[in-house]
Amino acid sequence: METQPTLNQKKGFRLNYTTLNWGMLLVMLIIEVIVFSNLTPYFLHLNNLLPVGREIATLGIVAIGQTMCILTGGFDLSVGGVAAISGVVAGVMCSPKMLDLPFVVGFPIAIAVALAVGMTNGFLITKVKINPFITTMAMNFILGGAVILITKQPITINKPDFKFLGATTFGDIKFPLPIIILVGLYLLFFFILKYTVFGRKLYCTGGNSEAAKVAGISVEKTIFFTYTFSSLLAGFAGIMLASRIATANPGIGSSYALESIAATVLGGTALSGGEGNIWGAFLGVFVTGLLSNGLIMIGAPQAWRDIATGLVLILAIILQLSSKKSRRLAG
Amino acid sequence: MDEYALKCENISKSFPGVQALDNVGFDLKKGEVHALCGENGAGKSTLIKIVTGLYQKDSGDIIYEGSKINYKSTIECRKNGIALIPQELQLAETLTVAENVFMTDFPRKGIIVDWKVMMKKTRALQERLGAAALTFQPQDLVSKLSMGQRQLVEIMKAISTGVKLIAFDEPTSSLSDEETREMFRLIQELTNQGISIIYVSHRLAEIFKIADRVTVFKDGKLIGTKAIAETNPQELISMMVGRDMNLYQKSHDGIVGETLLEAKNLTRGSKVKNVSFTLKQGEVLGMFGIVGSGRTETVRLLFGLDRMDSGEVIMHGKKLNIKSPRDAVREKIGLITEDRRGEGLSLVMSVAQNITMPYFSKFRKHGVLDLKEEAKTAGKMVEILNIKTPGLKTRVETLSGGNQQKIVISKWLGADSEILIFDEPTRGIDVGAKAEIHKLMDNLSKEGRGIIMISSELPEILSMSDRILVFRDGEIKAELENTESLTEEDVLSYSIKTR
Repeated sequence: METQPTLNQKKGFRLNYTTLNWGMLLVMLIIEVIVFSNLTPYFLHLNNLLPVGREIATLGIVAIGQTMCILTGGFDLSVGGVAAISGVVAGVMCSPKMLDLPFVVGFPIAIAVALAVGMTNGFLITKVKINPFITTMAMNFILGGAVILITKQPITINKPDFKFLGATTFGDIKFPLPIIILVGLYLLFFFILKYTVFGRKLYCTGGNSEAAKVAGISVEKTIFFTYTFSSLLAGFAGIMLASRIATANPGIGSSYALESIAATVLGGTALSGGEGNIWGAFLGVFVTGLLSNGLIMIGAPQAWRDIATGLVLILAIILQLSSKKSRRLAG
Repeated sequence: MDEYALKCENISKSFPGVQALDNVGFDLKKGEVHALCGENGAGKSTLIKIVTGLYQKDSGDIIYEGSKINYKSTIECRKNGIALIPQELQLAETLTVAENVFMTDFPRKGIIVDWKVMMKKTRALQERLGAAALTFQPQDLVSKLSMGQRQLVEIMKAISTGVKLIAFDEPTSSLSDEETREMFRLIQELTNQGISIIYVSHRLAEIFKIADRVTVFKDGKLIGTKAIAETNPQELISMMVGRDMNLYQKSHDGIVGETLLEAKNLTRGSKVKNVSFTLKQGEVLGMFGIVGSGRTETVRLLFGLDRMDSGEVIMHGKKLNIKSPRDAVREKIGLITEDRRGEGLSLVMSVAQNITMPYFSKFRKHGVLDLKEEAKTAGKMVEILNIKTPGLKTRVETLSGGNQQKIVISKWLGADSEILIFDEPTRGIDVGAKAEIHKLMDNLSKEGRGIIMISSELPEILSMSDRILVFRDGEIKAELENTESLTEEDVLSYSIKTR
């Protein structure tokens, strides 16, 4: 290490850990595509892929917030509950049989519920100092109960303005709006994480909260906003889902927390915090989503989809660990 | 059988970048209390950790009870009668006294723990130790015990397995005076029972009270062994510091300006008691004392990491109200913490991101961080401080200790801190990087910044400081001008209880 600092050579392509992980996920995606397109010719049709993308969008948006929480070294286990309650509140507001408000009124109210939940999470974690795991798990229980109190039955909202957000498509190929929203949100949050003061504070907080404190960063405020963002995103995803299927279903979301954590971890974000980015989660969501869809296409039951998701997760972590080990040897 | 319980011969041990022990040896007679002393980093703790199986020696021989041993773990040592009472006690606080004592080997009936026997055996051990150990019950939770009582539990744990040799690492550092006297009585009792004691301590007064012989170490080397009856504190102190003075010339001579900072009667519990001092522009103010003497605790108050019970801080004639590190950073105070990895760096993040951590928000233009501007600033710091790194995006954890420390310092240069607090700035850093960091501190003070430097290394204190504050037991015991005539012995004598 006696060489002069080679600051000007940093332009060249560097095979760092993040790129390696990306490569791994891409290879997984390609394998999935090859295997399933051989098993069923319809797999690669736009008629299949676009609806899959639309379906994945919900979890993909949830995974953005989850990644942010994990980057600070925490978790958000309440994303499922938030998605469910936001969707149901939107349903209650907009359903012709209930309040029958226009979507432009119902939407902000439902989002406000998500905001309130996120701020409560943030408050409990930073001020009352309850561990994020416990806080958000408890919150998920509460929300699960609250949703059932509001409605036991799915609420149908068959109104054009309500369905606009989730069910709009463009052009002859019927390109779904949710995919555009998904990509847009990923670009937005990529930007926030990389290019804003808040994003940097989030990484510093997760990388080493003590060092962040010593550097004058308000760790608590950062964590508070992170959980608020996570809830807002989960709430938005829940509303978008209700809009897409024209139904506010109190039963949705129970698997979102674990699935979004799985996608984040697949994407190479460290549970210890401070390293990773949302593009990993983006690919992670696609890897599990396409796997699930492929298995549906070849007629595998739900049980096999769950088993396959678990296996892929373990495989991915083993690959991550070995690449980390080799990096340590190299460093 | 000969009269020696233990003989260590030609022991060497190195850690990455440090020769912790260099060919040292000492012996321990049966029933003897043998004290090991020296400054921080002298190697005494490393040696007893090797003897008790916590570390493995690189080379040398340990002869125990007449035969060469090579135990690989503390468990193996304990089974063979060698126990360590560490400075930080290792007890499970949520369990009972009895459970802690018999943790490695529960009395059993078949596969079930025999509680009755365990309680009885614990009680018997307590009786063996005498009155002090009878102040608590075998079924008491350790969390309810005082520090002194906990130490007794550690000792019971040791003697429960038929111990022949106990090594104490700074046993009195967290004890009250009364508990300390009790501990001495107990050690006397243990030696009467034929147990040999290795006693590591900073406190010379204790060594003269309790030890039969004393061995002094310095910088990992053996200085000598003396019978307590034939030596005195003065001699020990000069053995502890006696080094080639030419190697440590004064490397800083401050042109001291106006008063920058005034601390008045800073107090926090019993850790910091009525500490007052001033810091001038261009000055390096050394803070010396043993670990736990109140130096780090004082600067934590200045920096807002802990809240003071009372006291005030005045900077540029204005009273500061520092409630958090954020406030301190805003007032242009920087802290280079002792624990680089714990509080100084985010190891998983890049060199650039670490360098700009206290002030990256100033690269914000219309809400967007200008990463190119940030890289430029970070690149400048890398050049100024001669940080050896493959690139600005390199993860900090892959760099050497010296380069990591330079990154911690660079954080505060970029933040334009007027006051820089260095807590043990060169601990665990190789000699070359050490000299560079000293040079850097000298330059910083010449720019008119005020520097507070905490150090446990006397040569560093004497070569860098303009003034020296000596801490002991949470108080400033002496304020010394660092003139030519000031010696290491002078400084050390204030920090150690010699009476």
